Amino acid sequence: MADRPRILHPFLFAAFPVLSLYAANVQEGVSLTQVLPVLATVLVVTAAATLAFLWALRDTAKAGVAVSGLVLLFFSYGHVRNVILEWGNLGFALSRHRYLLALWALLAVAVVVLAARVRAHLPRMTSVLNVVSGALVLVTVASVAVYEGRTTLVGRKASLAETVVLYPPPSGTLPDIYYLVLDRYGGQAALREFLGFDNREFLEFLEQRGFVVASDSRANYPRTYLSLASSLNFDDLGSLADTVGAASDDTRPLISMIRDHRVGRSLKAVGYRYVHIGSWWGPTASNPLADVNVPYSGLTEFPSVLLQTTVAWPMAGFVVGGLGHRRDWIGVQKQFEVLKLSRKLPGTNFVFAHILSPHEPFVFDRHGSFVSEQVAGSRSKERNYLEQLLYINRKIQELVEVLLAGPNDPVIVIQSDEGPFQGPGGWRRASDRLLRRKFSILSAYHLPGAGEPVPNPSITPVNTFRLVFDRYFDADLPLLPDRSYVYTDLRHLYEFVDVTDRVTGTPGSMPGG
Amino acid sequence: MQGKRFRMVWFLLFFGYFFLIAVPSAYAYIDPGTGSFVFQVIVGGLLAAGVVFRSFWRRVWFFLTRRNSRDRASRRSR
Repeated sequence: MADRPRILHPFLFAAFPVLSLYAANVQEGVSLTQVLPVLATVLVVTAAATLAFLWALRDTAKAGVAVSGLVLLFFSYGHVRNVILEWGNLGFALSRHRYLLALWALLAVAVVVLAARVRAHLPRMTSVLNVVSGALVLVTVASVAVYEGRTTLVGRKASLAETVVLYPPPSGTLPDIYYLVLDRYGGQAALREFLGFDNREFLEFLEQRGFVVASDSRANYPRTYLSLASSLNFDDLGSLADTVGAASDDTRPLISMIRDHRVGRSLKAVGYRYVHIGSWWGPTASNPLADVNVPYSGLTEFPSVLLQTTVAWPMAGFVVGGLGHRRDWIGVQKQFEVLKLSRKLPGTNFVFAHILSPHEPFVFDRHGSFVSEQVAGSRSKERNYLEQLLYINRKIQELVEVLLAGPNDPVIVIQSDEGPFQGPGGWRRASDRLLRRKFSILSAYHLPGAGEPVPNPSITPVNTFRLVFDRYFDADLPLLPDRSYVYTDLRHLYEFVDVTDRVTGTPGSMPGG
Repeated sequence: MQGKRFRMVWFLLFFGYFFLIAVPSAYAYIDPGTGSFVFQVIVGGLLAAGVVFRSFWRRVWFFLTRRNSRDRASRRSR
């Protein structure tokens, strides 16, 4: 009797979407540590499904065909919908979940019926499916290997994370330091000019609590990777660009700077406990330097995006009003709760929180009630943004009251990394108007006992910790010029163009404005 | 002729790839990779279809040639 081929294809077809997502995002810093748990979960579920079908169909080959078909349907749903959405109005109509889910249900039934009734030469079919699924996995793994081979040498050179020498104050009392990054929170200028909203009430609240608001603060870069890599290492990225090369799309050098940053290392060297409050975004989900990592509530980015491509996403979405929306509605509130609790920690703490709000998705109204994906989709992005911003204002006010209520006055920096809304992929042809919107940010400093704290109203994040370390730790770090840069496009992430003059232009007076 | 057809298939796959790869992501920073996923599944599907067709074609060929030879043999015997 001839050997029957092993049923490998359900597992290979199940591994393929996970590896494919990994391969598509190696340059975004997705690592094996994020991929392997997801891969293991997918393989275990596939094994369970194979056993169930084996029991039901009493035939290994038929069970394999059924599971492979269902696996492909399960993981292709979101991709097919993405493609259909590109077809304009027709695509929009056809991509409604109710139609697509009905079609997918029919296809799933068809797959199972066909697998049960198939009379073809099954060992032959199993061999073919094994080869095809193996080829898919192999091509994906090869593309990761090629990218790794091409970029590893430059990627590993990037770390700037040597410490600076900090001198604790003669009194010996070190203040707790809070660095809160509110992603895409616009500065007063952007909110006024582009959203017609005056945020004065909130800013006055901060000033009344002893904050200095840098009224004309600007981002150094229009993207979180670059902005946080710069602010957390208090350096501009010119030298990194020289190392990595302008024509690179590799974000891993930036991620290594975000995860292994000079601020954390320097503060730990003088006895600080580093408390990292994680976000859903991979590079700030956790931090290897931190003494305490508080994970984000719910799935982080890689499993979330994988799930978005599956049938499970819209099905769960119907139940909870959008999985991603629900995750962030819970997650952001939890971040604020943890921040409040962190005030009770003993010792001296550096607390860093990357809060991806008012960044999309828009999940809060001004009172903090849940905004479902459907409701957010029916409103303008400007309205959604302002509703979310108003809620974040309220949460910050509550938090500030808690942080300032303790016996020791902490240093608090509330800052955004970039202005409102997602920017374009390429900035070469960005208008002055877009630049003004994207670079205008919130920057508020509570620096107790530091004398005149903020040297100019247009201070940029690259100088945040130069200022803090100079005032509290006698670090003798000169302030860098407050410049703003764009990158050419996502394939030339390190090709920086200085746009400071265009960003600081008076509204309406600049060409292209 | 066969070369022309082959080039046409690759031309369509190539442009299909760049059409599909332009699909943007929603709120995340990482990309769902729809372009490469769909492209690879299509290529895998064509590969499988090719193998199945080849196997099927052999059976048809075998069936036809066996029948023809049987006909010839029966004609000769008559």
